Amino acid sequence: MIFERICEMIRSIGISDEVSPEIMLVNDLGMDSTELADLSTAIAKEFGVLIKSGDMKGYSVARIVEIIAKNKKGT
Amino acid sequence: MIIGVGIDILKIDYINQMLEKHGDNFLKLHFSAAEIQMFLNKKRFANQFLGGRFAAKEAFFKATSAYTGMELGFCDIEVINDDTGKPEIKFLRHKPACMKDDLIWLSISHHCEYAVAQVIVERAGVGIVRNKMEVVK
Repeated sequence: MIFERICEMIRSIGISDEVSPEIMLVNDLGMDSTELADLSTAIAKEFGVLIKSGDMKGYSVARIVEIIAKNKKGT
Repeated sequence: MIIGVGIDILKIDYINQMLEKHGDNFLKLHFSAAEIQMFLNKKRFANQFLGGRFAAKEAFFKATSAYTGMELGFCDIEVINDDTGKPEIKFLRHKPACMKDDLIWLSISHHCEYAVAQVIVERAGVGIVRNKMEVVK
Protein backbone atom coordinates (compact mmCIF):
# COMPACT_ATOMS: atom_id res chain seq x y z
CA MET A 1 0.00 0.00 0.00
CA ILE A 2 1.32 3.38 -1.02
CA PHE A 3 -0.06 5.17 2.04
CA GLU A 4 1.75 2.84 4.45
CA ARG A 5 5.02 3.27 2.55
CA ILE A 6 4.68 7.07 2.68
CA CYS A 7 4.09 6.84 6.44
CA GLU A 8 7.25 4.73 6.78
CA MET A 9 9.24 7.23 4.71
CA ILE A 10 8.02 10.10 6.89
CA ARG A 11 8.95 8.15 10.03
CA SER A 12 12.42 7.40 8.60
CA ILE A 13 12.98 11.15 8.28
CA GLY A 14 12.53 11.38 12.03
CA ILE A 15 8.92 12.56 12.28
CA SER A 16 7.07 10.52 14.85
CA ASP A 17 3.66 12.25 14.67
CA GLU A 18 0.71 10.09 13.71
CA VAL A 19 0.09 10.39 9.99
CA SER A 20 -3.38 10.33 8.45
CA PRO A 21 -4.31 10.82 4.79
CA GLU A 22 -5.63 14.35 5.29
CA ILE A 23 -2.60 15.61 7.18
CA MET A 24 -0.62 18.39 5.46
CA LEU A 25 3.13 17.87 5.13
CA VAL A 26 4.14 21.42 6.01
CA ASN A 27 1.20 22.94 7.86
CA ASP A 28 0.50 19.92 10.06
CA LEU A 29 3.71 17.88 10.20
CA GLY A 30 5.95 20.94 10.05
CA MET A 31 8.23 19.41 7.43
CA ASP A 32 10.98 21.76 6.27
CA SER A 33 12.51 22.00 2.80
CA THR A 34 15.30 19.51 3.50
CA GLU A 35 12.80 16.95 4.81
CA LEU A 36 10.61 17.47 1.74
CA ALA A 37 13.65 16.94 -0.49
CA ASP A 38 14.36 13.73 1.41
CA LEU A 39 10.77 12.52 0.95
CA SER A 40 10.73 13.53 -2.72
CA THR A 41 13.93 11.54 -3.33
CA ALA A 42 12.61 8.49 -1.47
CA ILE A 43 9.39 8.56 -3.53
CA ALA A 44 11.29 8.90 -6.82
CA LYS A 45 13.61 6.08 -5.83
CA GLU A 46 10.84 3.66 -4.84
CA PHE A 47 7.99 4.55 -7.20
CA GLY A 48 9.75 6.26 -10.09
CA VAL A 49 7.51 9.31 -9.64
CA LEU A 50 9.04 12.75 -9.34
CA ILE A 51 7.08 15.15 -7.16
CA LYS A 52 8.97 18.42 -6.76
CA SER A 53 9.68 19.16 -3.13
CA GLY A 54 8.55 22.75 -3.71
CA ASP A 55 5.15 21.52 -4.89
CA MET A 56 4.84 19.25 -1.86
CA LYS A 57 4.61 22.27 0.43
CA GLY A 58 0.90 22.53 -0.26
CA TYR A 59 0.14 18.81 -0.37
CA SER A 60 -1.56 16.43 2.04
CA VAL A 61 -0.42 12.83 2.37
CA ALA A 62 -3.54 11.77 0.44
CA ARG A 63 -2.56 14.03 -2.46
CA ILE A 64 0.92 12.48 -2.54
CA VAL A 65 -0.61 8.98 -2.58
CA GLU A 66 -2.98 10.02 -5.36
CA ILE A 67 -0.15 11.37 -7.55
CA ILE A 68 1.95 8.24 -7.04
CA ALA A 69 -0.98 5.91 -7.78
CA LYS A 70 -1.67 7.79 -11.00
CA ASN A 71 1.92 8.01 -12.24
CA LYS A 72 3.93 5.12 -10.85
CA LYS A 73 5.80 2.94 -13.27
CA GLY A 74 4.09 -0.24 -14.33
CA THR A 75 0.55 1.17 -14.08
CA MET B 1 14.48 47.67 -7.61
CA ILE B 2 14.76 44.60 -5.41
CA ILE B 3 11.72 42.37 -5.90
CA GLY B 4 12.81 39.24 -4.07
CA VAL B 5 15.23 38.10 -1.42
CA GLY B 6 15.92 34.62 -0.11
CA ILE B 7 18.39 33.12 2.31
CA ASP B 8 19.09 29.53 3.30
CA ILE B 9 21.40 27.81 5.74
CA LEU B 10 22.16 24.11 5.58
CA LYS B 11 24.01 21.75 7.87
CA ILE B 12 26.56 19.85 5.78
CA ASP B 13 25.61 16.69 7.64
CA TYR B 14 22.31 16.79 5.72
CA ILE B 15 24.29 16.22 2.52
CA ASN B 16 26.24 13.38 4.14
CA GLN B 17 22.98 11.76 5.25
CA MET B 18 21.23 12.15 1.90
CA LEU B 19 24.19 10.70 0.00
CA GLU B 20 24.30 7.79 2.39
CA LYS B 21 20.53 7.23 2.30
CA HIS B 22 19.74 7.90 -1.36
CA GLY B 23 23.11 7.89 -3.16
CA ASP B 24 22.94 8.83 -6.84
CA ASN B 25 19.18 9.40 -6.62
CA PHE B 26 19.77 12.40 -4.39
CA LEU B 27 22.38 13.78 -6.77
CA LYS B 28 20.34 13.29 -9.92
CA LEU B 29 17.14 14.75 -8.47
CA HIS B 30 18.73 17.89 -7.07
CA PHE B 31 21.76 18.73 -9.18
CA SER B 32 22.56 19.14 -12.86
CA ALA B 33 25.08 16.99 -14.71
CA ALA B 34 27.58 19.86 -14.58
CA GLU B 35 27.11 20.29 -10.82
CA ILE B 36 27.52 16.56 -10.23
CA GLN B 37 30.69 16.54 -12.31
CA MET B 38 32.10 19.47 -10.33
CA PHE B 39 31.22 17.66 -7.10
CA LEU B 40 32.93 14.45 -8.27
CA ASN B 41 36.03 16.40 -9.31
CA LYS B 42 36.41 18.06 -5.92
CA LYS B 43 39.48 16.89 -4.06
CA ARG B 44 38.48 18.68 -0.84
CA PHE B 45 35.27 20.04 0.70
CA ALA B 46 33.08 18.17 -1.81
CA ASN B 47 30.07 17.89 0.50
CA GLN B 48 30.46 21.53 1.56
CA PHE B 49 30.41 22.43 -2.13
CA LEU B 50 27.20 20.44 -2.63
CA GLY B 51 25.67 21.97 0.52
CA GLY B 52 26.38 25.45 -0.85
CA ARG B 53 24.69 24.57 -4.15
CA PHE B 54 21.67 23.11 -2.36
CA ALA B 55 21.38 26.19 -0.14
CA ALA B 56 21.72 28.46 -3.19
CA LYS B 57 18.79 26.75 -4.91
CA GLU B 58 16.65 26.92 -1.78
CA ALA B 59 17.50 30.62 -1.42
CA PHE B 60 16.56 31.15 -5.07
CA PHE B 61 13.18 29.42 -4.57
CA LYS B 62 12.50 31.57 -1.52
CA ALA B 63 13.35 34.73 -3.45
CA THR B 64 11.21 33.88 -6.47
CA SER B 65 8.43 31.46 -5.51
CA ALA B 66 5.97 34.25 -4.75
CA TYR B 67 5.78 35.24 -8.39
CA THR B 68 6.97 32.16 -10.29
CA GLY B 69 4.28 30.05 -8.58
CA MET B 70 6.66 27.19 -7.66
CA GLU B 71 7.07 26.21 -11.29
CA LEU B 72 10.81 25.67 -10.90
CA GLY B 73 12.43 22.65 -9.29
CA PHE B 74 15.99 21.73 -8.32
CA CYS B 75 16.78 20.35 -11.77
CA ASP B 76 15.43 23.39 -13.60
CA ILE B 77 18.34 25.54 -12.44
CA GLU B 78 22.02 25.06 -11.80
CA VAL B 79 24.64 27.02 -9.94
CA ILE B 80 27.76 27.45 -12.04
CA ASN B 81 30.80 29.62 -11.40
CA ASP B 82 31.57 32.30 -13.96
CA ASP B 83 35.07 33.01 -15.27
CA THR B 84 35.95 34.93 -12.11
CA GLY B 85 34.75 32.12 -9.85
CA LYS B 86 31.58 33.92 -8.84
CA PRO B 87 28.58 31.54 -8.61
CA GLU B 88 25.55 32.33 -10.69
CA ILE B 89 22.15 30.79 -11.35
CA LYS B 90 21.60 29.35 -14.81
CA PHE B 91 18.24 28.20 -16.14
CA LEU B 92 18.48 24.74 -17.67
CA ARG B 93 15.26 24.82 -19.65
CA HIS B 94 13.77 28.28 -19.83
CA LYS B 95 13.76 31.39 -17.74
CA PRO B 96 10.17 32.01 -16.58
CA ALA B 97 8.54 34.77 -18.60
CA CYS B 98 7.75 36.67 -15.43
CA MET B 99 11.50 36.85 -14.69
CA LYS B 100 12.59 37.80 -18.20
CA ASP B 101 14.62 40.91 -17.42
CA ASP B 102 15.37 40.19 -13.78
CA LEU B 103 18.92 40.15 -12.47
CA ILE B 104 19.79 37.45 -9.96
CA TRP B 105 22.49 38.10 -7.40
CA LEU B 106 23.86 35.11 -5.53
CA SER B 107 26.37 34.68 -2.75
CA ILE B 108 27.40 31.38 -1.13
CA SER B 109 29.59 30.69 1.86
CA HIS B 110 30.44 27.63 3.87
CA HIS B 111 32.46 27.04 6.97
CA CYS B 112 32.95 23.81 8.90
CA GLU B 113 29.52 22.24 9.28
CA TYR B 114 27.30 24.89 7.67
CA ALA B 115 26.68 26.33 4.22
CA VAL B 116 24.72 29.51 3.64
CA ALA B 117 23.46 31.23 0.51
CA GLN B 118 21.61 34.43 -0.28
CA VAL B 119 19.77 35.41 -3.45
CA ILE B 120 18.56 38.87 -4.37
CA VAL B 121 16.38 39.42 -7.42
CA GLU B 122 16.50 42.83 -9.04
CA ARG B 123 14.11 44.07 -11.67
CA ALA B 124 15.89 46.46 -13.99
CA GLY B 125 14.25 49.65 -15.19
CA VAL B 126 11.70 49.88 -12.43
CA GLY B 127 13.57 52.41 -10.32
CA ILE B 128 15.98 52.38 -7.45
CA VAL B 129 14.89 53.15 -3.93
CA ARG B 130 17.89 54.92 -2.43
CA ASN B 131 16.20 55.60 0.84
CA LYS B 132 12.70 55.77 2.21
CA MET B 133 12.13 59.31 0.95
CA GLU B 134 13.59 59.23 -2.54
CA VAL B 135 12.65 57.13 -5.55
CA VAL B 136 14.80 57.55 -8.67
CA LYS B 137 13.11 56.70 -11.99
